[in-house]
Amino acid sequence: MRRARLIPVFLSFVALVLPRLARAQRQWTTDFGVSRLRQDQIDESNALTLGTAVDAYSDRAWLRVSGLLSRATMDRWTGQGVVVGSLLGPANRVARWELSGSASGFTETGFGPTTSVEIMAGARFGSTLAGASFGAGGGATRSPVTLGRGVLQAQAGAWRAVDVNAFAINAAFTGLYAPPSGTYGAPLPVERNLAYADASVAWRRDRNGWSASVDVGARGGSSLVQGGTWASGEAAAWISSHVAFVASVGRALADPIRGVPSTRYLGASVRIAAQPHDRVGGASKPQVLAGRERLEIDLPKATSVELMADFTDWKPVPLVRTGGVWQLERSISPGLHRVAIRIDGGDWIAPPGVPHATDDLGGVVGLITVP
Amino acid sequence: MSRRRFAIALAISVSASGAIRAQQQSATALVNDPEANAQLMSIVSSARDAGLPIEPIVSKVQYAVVVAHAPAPRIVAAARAIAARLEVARDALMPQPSGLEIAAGADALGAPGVEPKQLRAVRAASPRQSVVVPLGVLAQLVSSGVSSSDATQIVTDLIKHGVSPRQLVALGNDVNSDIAHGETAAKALDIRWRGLNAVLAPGGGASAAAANAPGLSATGPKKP
Repeated sequence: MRRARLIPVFLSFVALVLPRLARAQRQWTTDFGVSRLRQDQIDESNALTLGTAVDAYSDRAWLRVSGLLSRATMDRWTGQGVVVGSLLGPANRVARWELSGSASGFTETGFGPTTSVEIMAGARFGSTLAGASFGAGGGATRSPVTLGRGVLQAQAGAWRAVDVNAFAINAAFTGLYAPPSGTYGAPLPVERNLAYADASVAWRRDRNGWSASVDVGARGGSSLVQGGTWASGEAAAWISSHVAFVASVGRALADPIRGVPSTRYLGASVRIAAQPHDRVGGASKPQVLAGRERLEIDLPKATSVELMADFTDWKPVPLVRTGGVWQLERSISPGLHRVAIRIDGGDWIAPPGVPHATDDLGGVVGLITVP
Repeated sequence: MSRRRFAIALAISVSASGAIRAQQQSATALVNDPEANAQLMSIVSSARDAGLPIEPIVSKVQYAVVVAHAPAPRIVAAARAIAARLEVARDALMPQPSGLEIAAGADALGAPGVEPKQLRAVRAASPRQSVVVPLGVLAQLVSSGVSSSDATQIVTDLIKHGVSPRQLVALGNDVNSDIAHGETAAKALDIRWRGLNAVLAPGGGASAAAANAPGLSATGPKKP
């Protein structure tokens, strides 16, 4: 399909996504930084970078709009913009359909722009915690060198989130083909059809003001497509709710669809977030932790702690000290429970650090939830 | 102490298998306050006959006697109020809520601003899985100062994302802890929700693969 025809299709896709993001969670970040770059056939150089990204996601849709402008030494500029999104079928089903789309543009000093549009349909299984997906689709790309090409893609992946860590594996096949003569113009004969496959693993983590991600992958395929391995890593330390220092390093292979050249980079930047983020040192450990077998209360200065709760039939039971933490070994059913504690023989109070509830009788108790 | 005695007797009556035996035990134990005892037994019997869990009523009476030292009329009123909430919770959590779910729903309804529509929203988000923990977290968040509509929105969103009970509880605990350390409820919830979603979303899929394509993000902005 001609790229020009795909543009209204992509815009229609975006129009379908946007209403489902009305109550989505949003994040807007902007990065100012410096990078050390090494690109094919270009001397190693330093660059100033300015990037921005807007993410919005709900249970039915996800959209990411990002842009990056960089100015390298010798007054060489590059600019890229990408819109990527997904529309998902209803939740609470084992399988959900997924319609994805992406559009990109890349340009650099001395070269015309490379643009691409892709649409993919697929299905995903499981939940955000753990699942798998597959899909297939197509699109078109156009660059000053290869002129227009059709794009065929197939993808399969799986993911798993464990506490604050997320892992993903992904495999993708991409084919670029030159359509019949006259559709786009005549591409270089030696590059008529290309095919390659990528496999990658990814890890990311976000906790206590530290964000980190690592992506590692390998590519193989047509001799004219750059193969080999690639990797990228990024770490961000949130020094306040809205500001982070970011360090990134990596090697990226050339992207034949989007026209981005192969790059090795080492960068540092300051990230400004419009919405607040958990900051370094901002996380505070809960004073009361309740599980199905044990309840712990962090009261290092207490010399004795007693507890009574609905799961003790409101009979006082002493807690046992282990270090600065007071423990009760007892089977506790999942759900909400009401508790009160007595420290050093004082009055019965709601434990510190948990929400308090005033009941029908005027008493105040603490509320804990057992998973 | 008469109130302690009828609380104990009531607890025994709950565990006893036969209603007749329970009534006999309660009749002998609640002699000191016959009117209140009769009312309490009536409330418990009605709840049991209606298919409602009676443990929350018993627990409330135990609390009223042992901890709150409340006068008999207030104990009866509290028992009646929780029985009413159990009934409302059962209706809101249809079609087949478990006893634990009904009790959790009644607890949530006791939190300021939580109404049956919020319970229905949680049930709709999780029609086949237990809502005991989500309703507990909902009640906990609301009691922390989060508005009932915000708390419901986030709990239902997270259920739809398939988060585990442990993650839901961790979110509630983190929010409570932040508030205890001086953060506002709204900001604490916003930060913790984003932190959880940073790990959860977008969770793979075709578009995520496209977003992470090699070369796309070289030196560029990454996901927050």
